Amino acid sequence: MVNIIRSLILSLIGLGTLAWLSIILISIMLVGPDPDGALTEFFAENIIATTKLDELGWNFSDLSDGLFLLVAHMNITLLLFTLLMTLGWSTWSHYLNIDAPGKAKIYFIHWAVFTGILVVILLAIIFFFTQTTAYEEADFIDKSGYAILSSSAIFYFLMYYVGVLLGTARFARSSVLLANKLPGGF
Amino acid sequence: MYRNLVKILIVIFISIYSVVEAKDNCQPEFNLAKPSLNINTSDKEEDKKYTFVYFDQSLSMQGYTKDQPGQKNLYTNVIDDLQQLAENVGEKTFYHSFGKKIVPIKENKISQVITPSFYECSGSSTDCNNQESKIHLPFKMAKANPQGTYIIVTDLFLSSKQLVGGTLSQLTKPLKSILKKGKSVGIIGVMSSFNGTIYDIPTRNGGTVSYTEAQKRPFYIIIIGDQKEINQVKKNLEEQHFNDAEDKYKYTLITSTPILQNLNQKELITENNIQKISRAENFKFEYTKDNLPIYQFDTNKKNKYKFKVLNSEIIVPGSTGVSNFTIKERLWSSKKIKCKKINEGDWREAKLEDISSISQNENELTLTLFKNRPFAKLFRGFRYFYLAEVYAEKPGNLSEQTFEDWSIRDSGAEEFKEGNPVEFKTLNLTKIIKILNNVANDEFQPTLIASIALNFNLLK
Amino acid sequence: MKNFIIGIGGTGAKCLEHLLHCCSAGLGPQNLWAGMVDQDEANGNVSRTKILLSKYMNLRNSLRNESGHDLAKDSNLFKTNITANNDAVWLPLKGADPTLEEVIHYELLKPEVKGLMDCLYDPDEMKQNLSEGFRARPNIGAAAMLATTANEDDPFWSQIYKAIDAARGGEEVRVFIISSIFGGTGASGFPNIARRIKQIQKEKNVTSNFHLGGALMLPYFNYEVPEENMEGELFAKPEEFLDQTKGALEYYAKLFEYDKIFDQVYVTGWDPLAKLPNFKMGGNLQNNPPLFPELYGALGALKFFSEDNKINDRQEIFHIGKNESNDILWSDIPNVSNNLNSKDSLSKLIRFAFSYNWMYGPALTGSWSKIKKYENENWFKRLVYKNTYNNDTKACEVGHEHNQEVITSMKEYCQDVLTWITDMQYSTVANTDQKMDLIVSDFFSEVQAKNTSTRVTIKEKLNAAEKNQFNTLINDSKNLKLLNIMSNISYKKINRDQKGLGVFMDILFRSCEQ
Repeated sequence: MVNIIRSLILSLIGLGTLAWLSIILISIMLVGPDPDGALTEFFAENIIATTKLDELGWNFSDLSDGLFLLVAHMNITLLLFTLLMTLGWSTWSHYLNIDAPGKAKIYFIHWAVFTGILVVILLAIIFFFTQTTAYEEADFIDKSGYAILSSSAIFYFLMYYVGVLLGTARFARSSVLLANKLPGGF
Repeated sequence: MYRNLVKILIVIFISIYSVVEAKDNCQPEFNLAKPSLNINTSDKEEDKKYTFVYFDQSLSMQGYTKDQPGQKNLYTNVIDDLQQLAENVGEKTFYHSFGKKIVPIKENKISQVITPSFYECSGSSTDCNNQESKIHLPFKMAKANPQGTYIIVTDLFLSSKQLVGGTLSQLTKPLKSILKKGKSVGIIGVMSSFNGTIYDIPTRNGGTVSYTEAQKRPFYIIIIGDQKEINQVKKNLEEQHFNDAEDKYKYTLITSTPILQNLNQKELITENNIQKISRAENFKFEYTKDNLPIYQFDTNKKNKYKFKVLNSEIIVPGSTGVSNFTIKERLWSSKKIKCKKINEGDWREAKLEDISSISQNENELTLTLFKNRPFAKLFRGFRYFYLAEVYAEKPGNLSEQTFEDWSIRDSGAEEFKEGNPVEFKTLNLTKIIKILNNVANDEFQPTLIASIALNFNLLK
Repeated sequence: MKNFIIGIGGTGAKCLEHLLHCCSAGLGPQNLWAGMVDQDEANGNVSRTKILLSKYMNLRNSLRNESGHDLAKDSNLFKTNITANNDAVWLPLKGADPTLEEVIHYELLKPEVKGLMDCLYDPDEMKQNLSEGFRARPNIGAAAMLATTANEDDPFWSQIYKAIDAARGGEEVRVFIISSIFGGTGASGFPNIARRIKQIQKEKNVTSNFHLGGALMLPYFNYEVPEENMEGELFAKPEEFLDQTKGALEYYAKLFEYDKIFDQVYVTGWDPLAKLPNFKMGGNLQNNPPLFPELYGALGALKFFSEDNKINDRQEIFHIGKNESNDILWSDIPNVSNNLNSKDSLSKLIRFAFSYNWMYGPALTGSWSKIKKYENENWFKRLVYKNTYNNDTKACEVGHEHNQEVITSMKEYCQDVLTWITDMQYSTVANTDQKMDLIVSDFFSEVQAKNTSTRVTIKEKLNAAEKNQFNTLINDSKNLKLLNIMSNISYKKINRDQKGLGVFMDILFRSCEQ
C-alpha cells in the first residue's frame, strides 16, 4: 500500500509539471480573458470561423463568452480524465503479474493498449465538445480551430506520459516506454 | 367606488391591450418590395372594344381556298368561323384585306375570303393588292389604336429582305408600342391543306421560284390585344376546329408580361408550398399585413426545404415563359431565440449574397432554400429570419422552339423545294418569332412573383 | 559470547543439519563453533552434515566479505558465523579397523583384569571392528571413549580447551552437545564427553562463565531389519531402543541427582516412531532422512545459545513436545528467543530458497551476454548492476567467474533447503497416521522413498502454473506471491553497509518476509 501511495504521489508530481499550464488556462477561460489580450486574439484568428461569423454580421467579441466556457469545460474534462488514467495506471502497475525477471516487458502491450485507449478517449472528448451539438458554441470553431484544439490531446498525452513515467511501479517500468532508463534507486 | 372600479378596469384593459399590441421583435425591420404586376389589366368598362380583322390577300394564300384531295382544309373552316369569333371579342368588328395596302372589306364580302377569287387580281401588278404581304400595316393600325383587338390571317411567308433594316423596324416599332401598353400578340399556326402556288421562294442565287406541289401548308392567325381576348379566341378555335388528333396547330403568346400574377396579392402561398415543413417543431404559418407569408419553425442542420409553385400559377399559358429568375434575399440572425427576449438591436443582417437557388422545369418553379448556404453552415443556437423575393428576370424563348419544325430559312428554301415536299414550311418563321420575342423581351421588366419569409431556430 | 556445539553420532549430525538451516534463517547466535563426534567416519548422515557445514561456511565467507560481497551485520541471512575444524568430525578411535581388544590392550592386561573384561564383554564385542561405529553398544563406546585421551593437541579437544580458557578469561562460553539416548556413539558419547568437558573445566579451575547444555533424543524412529545375512552381525536393533532408553534414563536420573554436569538439558522424543524404510548397519549407506524431532534438538540448542536464555546455577531439564493431534503444525515449532519467531524465519528461508532457485538464480546465472537482458529491470539495476559494476573496466561483472561461483553456490544451498524441508515433511510421517503439511511441496519436488541416496528430487524448472503455486507454499500463513517478492525487492531499502551480491541476497531474503 505504501508503495502504491508513493507511486501516486510521484504520478501527481509528474502530472503537475504540465498540469499547471492547463489549470492556468482553465482559470483564465472561466474568468474570461482580456478582450484585447493575446489569447482572445489567438482564438479570434485561429480557432473561430471568423469569416463565417462576419458574413452573418457578428464579431467574435459578441460570442466569446460561450466559447471560452466551452474550452474551459473541455480542458477540465481532459485534465480530470488524464489524471484518472495516470493514477489508474500507476495503481494498476502494482497489480500486474510481474512475478519473475524478464516479465515486465511483456506488459508493454498492456501499457500500449491502455495508452491507446487514453488517446482515443482524449480525442473523443475533444470531438464531443467541438464537433457535437453538446455546446452550441462548437459551431463557431472552424476546421483549423478544430485541428488546433485537437492538438491539445498531445499536451495531455505528454502530461499522462510524464505521470506514468514517474509513477509506474518500479518493477513494472520495463512496460512503459523509456521508463526503465530511470535510475534504479528512483 | 363604482366609478373607481370602472377606472381600474379600463386601465387594466388598456394595459393588456398594450401588451398584446406591444411590438413583436420576432422579426427584424425591413422594407418589403411591392408587386408591380396588376392582376386586372383589362381596360375600363366604358372603353369600347372593337375587333379588326385583316386577311392577307397575297396570291400565295389562294391555295388555302382550294381543297386538296385527301387533306383537311382547316383554312376555310376557321375563316368561316372567324367572323363569329371576332364578333364575340369586340362590340363591333371591322374586316380588311392587306397586301400592299389595307383595304376594308364589306361585311357581305367576307365570305369571299375563302374563295380563290379573293386572291386574284386582273389589274396591273402595281394596282393589285395580292403581290406582297406588308404585314407591318395591321401592326401599325394596332399601334394607333391599342384598345382594339386585331386579328391577322396570313401565311407569314416573309423573306429575309423583309426582316432587315427599315422593313423590320416597320414591324418592330409598332409591336414595341403595342407591348408597352400591356398588350400581347398571340400567334396560332394551323396546318391546313393547300392546293395552289407558293410564290417568292428564295433561291440561292438571290432570285425567287414558285412551288405548286405542296399539299399542306400552315397559315397563321395573329391576334393582337389583351391576353384575355387572345386566350378566348384561341380557346374557341381549339374547341371548334382542332378536335381531331391529326389536326396540327401551334400557339404562342408574345407578351412583355409572361407573368400571370404575384402570388402574395391574393395570398395564394400556403404552407403546402414547402413540403413537410408543417411537420417541423413549433411550426406556424401566417401572413403579415403586407401579405408576406412567414413560415415559423424550429429545425436542425440536416433539414432541407424547397419552396415550389406551379408554372401554371405564375406563367401566362402559351407565353414565352421566363428563362431566368432571380432572388433578392436577406438574412438576419439573433443570438436570442425567444421572441419575447429579442430587442430591436439583437438582429444582425448577414452579408451573404447567394443563399438559395432557383430552378424551373416543365411543371414548376422550385426555390431550393439555403442550397448555397445550407443550415449546416449556419450556427446553432441562433434565430434566423430569411426573406426571399422571387423575380422573373428574363423572358424565355419557348415559342421559337414551338415553331421550329414549321420553319425554313432562305438559304435552305430552294433545296427544300427541290425535295418536292408535300408539307411546305413557312419561310423564316423562327426568325420572325425571335424578332417578335426580342421586341417583347426589350419591354420586359423584372417582375416580383412571390415573397416569402422563414423565421426559424436552428437547433441541435 | 562464545558458543560451541557438538553433535555426537548420527543423530547428533542430523540435528546439526537442522541447526545449520536454522542458522541460515537467522535463528542462531552471532557465532558458533561446530564439531561432530562419530566413530563411523563414513556415516552418510555425518557426511551429509559435513558437506552442508562446508557449504554454509564457504557461502557465508563469500557473502560476509567486506571487500567483496557483504550482507552486512544487520542481515539475518547466514547470520551465525559458524566455524569448524578442517575435519569437523572427531573419531574417538583412530586407525584402520580398531577393535576394543586393541584399544584396551587386552593382551597386556593382568589376568584378573582380563577376567573382568571377559565378564563385561562378549568375545564378539571385543573383536568387533569399530571403524563403522559402536553398533548400538554404548558399553563398547563408553569403554572406547574412556580409553582415549582428551589431548589438548588434538584439534577437536583443543577447541574445548580454548573454550574453557576463554571462560576463565571472563568471556561467557556455552557448550552444547546433542546425541541420541539410544544407539551406539551417541549413547556412549553423551555422558562421557560431557564428563570429560567438566573434568577439564575443574582442572582449569573455571567456576563461572562456562555453561554446558545438552539435548537428549529419546527414540523417535525405527526401521525393519532384514533377516537374511544378519546372523553373527552386531547392529542396532530397534526393539532394543526402548529398553536401552529406559536404562539410560535411569542412569541419567542418578547422574543428574548427584552430579551437576549440565546446566540445561533438553529432552525430546516422538510418538509414534517415524518409520524409516532402509536399514543399514553403518557407513555411507546409513543415510537417514531428516526428521522433525531432530529439529527440536536443533532448536533446543539455539535456545540454549540465545542471549535471552539466562542460565542460573540450578540444573534445568526441558522437554519439548507437539500438540496431541496427529497433525504437525507450525505452532509445534517453538521460538528460540523473544525476538525471533521460528516459523517466520523458517518460512522466510523456504520462500527465499524457492524464489532464488527458480526465479532469480537462473536470471543471474551465465555470462553477461545472457544476463544483460535484465539490465534495464529495476531490481537488477538497483541491486545487482550497480553493486557488481567495476569502475576500472567500466563493466558489470556479474557474469564473471568469481560472482558466478557465489550465485551457483547459493543456488545449491537453496536446493539443499528445499530438499531438507521436503524430505523432513515426508519422512517424518510416511507410513504413520500423522500428517505434516507445513509446506506444499508436491508441485516442485518428487519423492522416491526407496532411493536412499536421492529420496527427494527438486524439479529443475517449473512451469507457470507451478510457479503460481508459490503463494500456497507455506501453510497456515497469509501467503506471499511471487509478485509481492518482485515488488518488495524493488522497494526494500538497501542497507548502505552491504556490498556486491550481498545487497541482492539480503534484499531478496528480507522480501520473503510475510
